[in-house]
Amino acid sequence: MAIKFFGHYLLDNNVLTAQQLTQAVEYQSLKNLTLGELAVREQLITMKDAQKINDKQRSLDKRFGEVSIALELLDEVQITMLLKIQKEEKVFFGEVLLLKEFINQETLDKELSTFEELQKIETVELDDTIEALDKDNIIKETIGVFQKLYSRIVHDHIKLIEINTTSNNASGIIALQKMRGDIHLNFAIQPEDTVALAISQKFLKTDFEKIDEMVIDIISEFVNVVLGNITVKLSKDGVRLDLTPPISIDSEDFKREEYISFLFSTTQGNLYLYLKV
Amino acid sequence: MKILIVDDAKLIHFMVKKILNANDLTEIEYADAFDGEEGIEKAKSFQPDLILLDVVMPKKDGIEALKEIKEHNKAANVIMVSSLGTDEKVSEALKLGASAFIQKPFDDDELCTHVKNAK
Repeated sequence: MAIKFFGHYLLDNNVLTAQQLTQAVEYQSLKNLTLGELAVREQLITMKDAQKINDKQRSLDKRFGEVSIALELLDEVQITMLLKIQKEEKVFFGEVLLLKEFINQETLDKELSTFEELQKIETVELDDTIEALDKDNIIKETIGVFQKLYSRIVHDHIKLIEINTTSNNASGIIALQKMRGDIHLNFAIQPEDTVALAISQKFLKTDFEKIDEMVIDIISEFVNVVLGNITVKLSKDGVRLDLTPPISIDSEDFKREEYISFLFSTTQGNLYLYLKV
Repeated sequence: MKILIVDDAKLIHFMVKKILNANDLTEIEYADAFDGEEGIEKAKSFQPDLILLDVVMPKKDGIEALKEIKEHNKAANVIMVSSLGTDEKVSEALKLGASAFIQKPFDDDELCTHVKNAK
């Protein structure tokens, strides 16, 4: 089972209609404004400035706050204020459903509890250095979803054994995909050949003997499935996220030093997960 | 029945055909497209009964492709098949006229049920 957005779960279980889901999401996105929309509303910048920041943001692959400060259109104090307003005004999806009377409190509580049970992921223990970096639990949630989906797809146990190993000179396929929007996350995996073959066999229910084009395609799609589900998990409550298509790259071209690396062991061999938040 | 599969991952094309074939959904004519632009073109030329459309794709993403496919043929039966089932993507797709949103990884039964319903 995939990691689903609560609304998608309610739709699949006939608690909400497609029309109600659309209305609720539209209402939520009207209320939960982006930093750019808020800055325009608060008359700190013009629409034209916001567009300029957005364009620059896309080309530089940076966050809204960083770009607007660099362009001297907003300062740090204003960004902090906007973030505070954004947090205070945030409307949660469940609140919208109640407000629109699509669902009553009792049904909401019942469905939410079933949904949370289905989507539950194991808690991941990280060391203090990573814990300090992971203020919003993005790394923890990412690893939790990754482990859960790996186990479900490959039907194998996977265990985190080392973080930021210094002896990493692994070779083999690297599949990389980027999450962009309110959270920037680069997600890459590098499985040993035996693990790549195991993922491929389970994914396609076909035997593979060597790393070929299809296996490389499968590892990229595996990353796409995992990161898509992570995106769903992180995109709750109006956080806006999108994905670039996955790519496979040579080990030598991968800037490993920019990433936090996580070494996992499976019964088929080892696998590296690389994250850059 | 004619099905158009639009997904940049070759394996999804292979996988969908394999699953449907193994579940006795054999009398199907397929067409393949590997990005949004090709999907729009094949939707016009192949005239499928059902389009399975990914979201994250190069050139043109699945949401944009869905919009154009529906502009050209309002009655086109499109099911989104993607791992990116965020609130915005699911509701946008449904609003644009997709009949369902299957989230990857999907079960064989889930896919077959949707295809049977589309027949």
